[in-house]
Amino acid sequence: MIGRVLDSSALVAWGRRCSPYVEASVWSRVGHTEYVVPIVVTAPALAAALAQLPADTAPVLGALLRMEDVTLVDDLTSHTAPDVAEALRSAAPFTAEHVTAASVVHAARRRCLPVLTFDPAPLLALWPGIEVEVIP
Amino acid sequence: MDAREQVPYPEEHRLANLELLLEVLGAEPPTELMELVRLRDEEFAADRDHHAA
Repeated sequence: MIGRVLDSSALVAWGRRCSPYVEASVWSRVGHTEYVVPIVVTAPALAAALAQLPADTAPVLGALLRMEDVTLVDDLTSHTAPDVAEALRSAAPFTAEHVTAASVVHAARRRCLPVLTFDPAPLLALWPGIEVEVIP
Repeated sequence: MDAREQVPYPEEHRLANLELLLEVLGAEPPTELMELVRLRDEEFAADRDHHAA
């Protein structure tokens, strides 16, 4: 089984519990035996999701972030900013939303993982070769 | 960690994670959809093998 990068649309769906497919995707990876199948969340995507979610969804999102070994949060730091900027460059002129998408593209590229998303267009615009799994 | 690495997943962590999911979601794993997830994952793996060949 292959891990997934969850973009902000997938995180919002997880928090709102409005996509059984996203839940099945998480259950499958958390329950996988023997080796870790990572679920990767970027800090900008997490911030974008939190901004769209009501406070009472915090326990659901928090549980995802607490999945020991499985959930990895990629921070946007001074060390990762140049690579995120590289993904972002092709979107110029860009908006704040592009920064979030670029962080997701960077995580997918760095970790060789597909992205789980409702909306692949912003990601494909930054990296046409990105692997995306569109949430049904 | 990336898709090329296989990091061991301690069984006690796996069970604790599953228990936490069960607690917060209040529902059993959706086994039918998980089968769909597995099939789509196999498609990704097959695509990668195809491109690597």
